[in-house]
Amino acid sequence: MSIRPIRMRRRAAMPAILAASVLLAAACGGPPGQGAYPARDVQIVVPYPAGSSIDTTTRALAEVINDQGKLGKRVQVVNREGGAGSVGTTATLNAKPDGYTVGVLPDGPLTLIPHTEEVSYDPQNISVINEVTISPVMFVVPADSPYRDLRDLIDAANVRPGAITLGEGPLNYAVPAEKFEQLTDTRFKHVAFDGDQATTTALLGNNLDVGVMQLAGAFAQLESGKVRALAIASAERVDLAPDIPTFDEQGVGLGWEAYNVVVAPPELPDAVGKKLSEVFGSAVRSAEFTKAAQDLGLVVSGAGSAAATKRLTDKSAAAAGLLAPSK
Amino acid sequence: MLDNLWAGFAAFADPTYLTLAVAGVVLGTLVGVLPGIGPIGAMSVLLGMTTQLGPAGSLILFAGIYFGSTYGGSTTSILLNVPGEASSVVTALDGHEMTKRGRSGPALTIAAVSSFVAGTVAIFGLMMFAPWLSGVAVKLGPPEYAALCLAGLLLLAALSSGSTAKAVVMICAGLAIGTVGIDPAGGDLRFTFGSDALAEGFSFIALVMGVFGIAEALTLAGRRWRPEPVRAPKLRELLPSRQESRDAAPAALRGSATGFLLGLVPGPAAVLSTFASYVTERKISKRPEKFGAGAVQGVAGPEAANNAAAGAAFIPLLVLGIPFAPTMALVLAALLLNGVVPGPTFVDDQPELFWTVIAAMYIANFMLLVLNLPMVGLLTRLLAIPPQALMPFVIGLCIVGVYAEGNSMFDVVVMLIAGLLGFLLRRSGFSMAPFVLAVVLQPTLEGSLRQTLAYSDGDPGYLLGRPVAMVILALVVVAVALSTRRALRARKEQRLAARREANDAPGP
Repeated sequence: MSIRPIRMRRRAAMPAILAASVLLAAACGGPPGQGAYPARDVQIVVPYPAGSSIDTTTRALAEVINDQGKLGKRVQVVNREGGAGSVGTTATLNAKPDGYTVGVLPDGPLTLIPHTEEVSYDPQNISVINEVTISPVMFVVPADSPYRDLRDLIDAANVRPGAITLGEGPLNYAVPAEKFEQLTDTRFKHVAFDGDQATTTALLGNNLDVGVMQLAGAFAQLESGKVRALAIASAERVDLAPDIPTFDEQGVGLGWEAYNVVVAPPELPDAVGKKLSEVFGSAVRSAEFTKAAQDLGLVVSGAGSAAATKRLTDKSAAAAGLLAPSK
Repeated sequence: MLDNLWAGFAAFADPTYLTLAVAGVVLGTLVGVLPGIGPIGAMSVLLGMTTQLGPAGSLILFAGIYFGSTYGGSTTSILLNVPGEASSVVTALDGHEMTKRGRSGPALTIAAVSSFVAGTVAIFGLMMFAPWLSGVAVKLGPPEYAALCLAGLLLLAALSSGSTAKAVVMICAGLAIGTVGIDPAGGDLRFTFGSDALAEGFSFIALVMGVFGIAEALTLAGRRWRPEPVRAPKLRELLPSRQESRDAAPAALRGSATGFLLGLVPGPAAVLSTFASYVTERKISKRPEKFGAGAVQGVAGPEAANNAAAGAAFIPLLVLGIPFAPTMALVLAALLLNGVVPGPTFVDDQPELFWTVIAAMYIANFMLLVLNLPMVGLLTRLLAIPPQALMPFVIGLCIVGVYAEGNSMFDVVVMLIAGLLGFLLRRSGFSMAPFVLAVVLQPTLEGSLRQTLAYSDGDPGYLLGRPVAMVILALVVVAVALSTRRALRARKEQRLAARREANDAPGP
């Protein structure tokens, strides 16, 4: 006796499953708790350890949200660190799309990491709720460094190729570092650091020649004059630190910004997405958050879902060209 | 500096902090008094709560437990000859002798006052040196950090009592466990065997609660218990004689200095410092024969030393971000869970927190002095409680705590398995302290090692240009070599003795 195997291609299975779930949902009388969202506290996943710049930002944002009380429930920050942000991103994007798990994610796991690693989430298929902050990348040197500007650095790198140490870390630093080398035809010795704090410490101790960092990560040390920024990779000078010249001004066409975005799993119910967008948008634009972000050295964005999604797509496309040939 | 300190004390106007300080001190004394469960166990059980307490709150609680336990351990040493903690083993030598001679009251007072003096000395040292040391620490680069991590691990293994080989096995196990999860630099999955739960790595809280909380509970449950009759000294019997005070004071000061200095370097400082102080006191004493027969200096010196070492151990933690002792590893975990990353910039970046901690230590020390002497009677009566009655409570607290921290049943399973393995390994003479320290130090060690390799392009000659790293590594080699020689010699003597015995035995 033979049983004919039922062959169903995956493509064909999806509508069947969808249809079944629609029926099931209809049978239950619509998604449970609709209109009652949120019925409990909302978790904000931060994919970096507590104390990191994105963590501090998110905690400041969470405080504003809780103070404003527009959500009706509280938000709680949960750190899920590891894998240059991919652990927390996986946790966010593979969570139930019920609005109780959102992530404040750096763009790296969405725009860069998928080009180099196999990830267990789909970076294209996400619900972008809001953009929180923009952080241009900078090149930072110790206060007593011999390099006064980019020209000095490029000249020195030409004299001793591969000898000047360049501290990077996550792809959001490694990619612009690579791009800088391509643009200026130089070579540095790359050393991976665990984040801006580790890079700052290495700079302060003169254990590192140049650190690739975000404005926020070096803000306090820049103000106290212990480190200097050679160049900032934004289109124009930043209001927060008007003394730092851009790469463009110094003849190197490097623009590289990191974004922190509020993201939820795909297929978020519209009502929930709208509510979250409202809550987060109003918190990001609040005077309290702007003040907190500026104190940290962050440029507040507040771009809505559509604009933020476009920026992520563009950056991913730009990175694809840079990451593909090098790997 | 005084303004800062004053601001630190002002934080204690908040009744929550004061309550936490009292709770920490009392709890620490209790676990110090009760043999079996120690400060690491108590801290690991409470680790799940620290996110609710905030960084200052958890530091205050943990500092209280830490100081309380070094202190509580001496009470049972003196009265019962049962050291509650490894760091009060030496105290028992002369402390219990004093009890036998009816001088238990003065012995307790001398232990308490010496601890207080030492605690104060250590805190002053911390206040004076920590900001300065931060300036030095910032110069340390990846090779030095890698060397310090190695030193922390290997010195703990070489200098602790028990088999060095077994400690090294536990260190390797800890380092191996630490690598599970996502590679911090490359982002690749390591040793996850396709499991999503393992991709995040093992939770430190689950591991430490398992090997300390659960395993200690299991160990105690298997022990036969017989309460000992204890006579606690009455209040008016506590005062030492003039001669006793005169002998104790210089010993306490010397012990404080020894303890403080040893607390700064890697290794099991609290325990080592008690031995170091005892040996010193006996050597400089005009009547060394009194040691072991109730010498006051033999109580004052070691008791001061272990408390000063306890205070000094906070310095490498806060200034370097590297814990040299398992208890400090737990304090580090509590800080990290609260978003505070200690390191060379900590004192500058978070002055309020730093000075609150200093104030917390003062307050903990003061409370220990005023609370514990009058409570000696109560504490000794606690020893009549069979620990089996406490253990279900401890296990329950562990399960709730670990689940609450990560909201993950996987963590609970990890904890229970770690507990069972820890229990079995302990029975075979493996110590869990090196394991826990290795798990904590693994990311730092790996990161700094990789950076060192990047700096040096894999050329070992690079280390020659890093004298500080070379000196640290050289010290480690010397310590390991000495400890190996000691172990080999002991084994040889054992063999000789066995042979002699065999020869002496009448032949067949």
